[in-house]
Amino acid sequence: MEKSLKRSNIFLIVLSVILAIALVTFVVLYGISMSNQNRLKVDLENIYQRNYSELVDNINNSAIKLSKVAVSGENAYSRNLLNEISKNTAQATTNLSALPISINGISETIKFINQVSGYTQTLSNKLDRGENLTQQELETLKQLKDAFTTLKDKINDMSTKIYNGKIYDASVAFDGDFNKFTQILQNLKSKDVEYPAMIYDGPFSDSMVNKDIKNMNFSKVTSDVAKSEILDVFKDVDQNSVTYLGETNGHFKTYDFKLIAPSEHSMYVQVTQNGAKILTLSVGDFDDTQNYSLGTAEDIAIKFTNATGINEVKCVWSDVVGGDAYINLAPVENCVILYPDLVKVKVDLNSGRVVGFEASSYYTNHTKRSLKTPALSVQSAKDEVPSSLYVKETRLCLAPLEYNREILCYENICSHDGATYYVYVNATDGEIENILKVVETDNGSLLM
Amino acid sequence: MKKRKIFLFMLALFAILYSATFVLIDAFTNNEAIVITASQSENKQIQQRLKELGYYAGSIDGIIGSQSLKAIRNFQRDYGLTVDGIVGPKTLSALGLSSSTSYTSQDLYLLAKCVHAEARGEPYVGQVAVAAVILNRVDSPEFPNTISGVIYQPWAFTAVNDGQINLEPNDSAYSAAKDALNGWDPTYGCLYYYNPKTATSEWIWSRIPVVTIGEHVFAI
Repeated sequence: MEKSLKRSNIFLIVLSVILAIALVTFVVLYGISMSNQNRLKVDLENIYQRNYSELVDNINNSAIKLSKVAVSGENAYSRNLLNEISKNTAQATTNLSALPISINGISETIKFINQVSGYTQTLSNKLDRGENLTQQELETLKQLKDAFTTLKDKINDMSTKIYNGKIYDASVAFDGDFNKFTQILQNLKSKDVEYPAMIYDGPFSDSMVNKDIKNMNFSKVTSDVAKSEILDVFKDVDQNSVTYLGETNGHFKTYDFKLIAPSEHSMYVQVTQNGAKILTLSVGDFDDTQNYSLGTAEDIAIKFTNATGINEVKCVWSDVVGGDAYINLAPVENCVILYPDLVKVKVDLNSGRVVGFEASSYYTNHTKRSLKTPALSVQSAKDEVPSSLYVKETRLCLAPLEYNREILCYENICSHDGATYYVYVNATDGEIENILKVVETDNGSLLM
Repeated sequence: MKKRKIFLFMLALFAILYSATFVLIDAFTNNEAIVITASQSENKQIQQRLKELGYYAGSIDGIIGSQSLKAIRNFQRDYGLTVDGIVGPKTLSALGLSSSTSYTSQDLYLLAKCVHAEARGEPYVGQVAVAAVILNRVDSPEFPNTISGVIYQPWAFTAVNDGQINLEPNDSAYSAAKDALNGWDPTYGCLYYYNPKTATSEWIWSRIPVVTIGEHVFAI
């Protein structure tokens, strides 16, 4: 009896010691964990504060420079200022997006700042080309100056509010959909700040977002007609495998279908509600085997594109990545390649089937164009290419330049130091419009 | 009997403390470092340049280890940049290595990671659509202007918030990201998507739905 009592006492003592050690370890680790957490919190707070300070600086600088542009009247000086405003505002957007703002809480302000960046860049480019600003543009700049001055005052007022509190704390306290920090920033756009509309063709302009569709003048069809169009193009697909999924009511209006290929891959096809044109096809296929050559794949792509009703296209670019061939086709009119109307096709080199098709650029841009006869000869175009480049081939094309501009160019495929460059020379005035470099990566070639 | 109770109580307490300690130890050892990933060739360029400038003495292996990180920090300090060890556009340009605004293979990797984290259970076209939404945001004035800016915008993607973004993307995610970069957009300009079964934000219901693909509703 006494012996067992002794033994249980020893047990209890040993257990107490272990428990005490465990308790001490726990407390120490908990302490370290908390101090780590605090350190990370301070680090995060510092990053937020840095971005906030930079945001205030960038808005302040933009406001001051906008006031200077309004009184400058000297093109060269204004051009530099506009350029700087564009950079300051672009940086302000970067600062804003690094802050813990609830998604879409202040989208109107971000949009405004982004558009000011695009607008001032466009005006700076205009002055660079030797043109003058119109009365309307000067008026808009004046309105921008007023809007920015109010924005600047508000943001400066707000800094006291935010510095009293912590951005981190304000960001984790939620009230409805938006956190407290977003709500403080939302005060930036109160009734007394008017954001003027900016009419221009440049980065972030409304005209870039709402592009017109030029080639969809067909009458509306039913989803049954769309389905029969699919069966017409995919002749080897079992019609029972075609499932109607619903509609897409975006920029393009489509009927969407799922079908099962003979290879048992499921395909997703979108057919336009107007005219039942196959607009996109997407298939998830990740086989790296290559049974077909790139040349055969190009033929398959052209045949498929013709079957969807798009004719007279030529392969203008192709590349093999993994087990797929990426092929770009473009219509050719009077020996001019129409790049804006590109059709993109992906062919699986294992099965020889089309596993991707994208014709929205074609239907957006393809229209009857009156192409001018080039003023420049092929030889003069070649002469415009920098002498360090060796010109391998020259062809005429309609190049889609930024902001919906289409320009008749000579496309010079050149080489230099083992790399390939595409140099676009304006066929009217001989100016170099763009230079692209082919960059080889592990994931195929990129045009940059 | 009383001793037995004390004994059991202490045993239970010990078990709790023991497991809690392990949770804490686990939290320390598994703390994932936030690494700004760049391709190995880009890293090699950075190391090469740092070596030329006398900041780095290690080997040019493309792996940013503690030695490279120290070199980057020292370089940033000397050149008046923010000393964060991250090679962003400013540090790159100070190193004389410019970063391009065009889409790079780094963008492809990041896009694939986001697609994998956000939509790995979705049909293939749903993955292309998620990648397309990210690219549509890059073009939209209402969002940041780079792929990384859009993906890492605070609270924009749940998979970025909970760290799933750091999972390695699979072939499907890569292929979907590539298709979207190549111009595929099954949503035709959508800027948002949500899963109607799990969406908690009331605000998202105010968006105009364009198409439903798999579990996601895509909206403008």
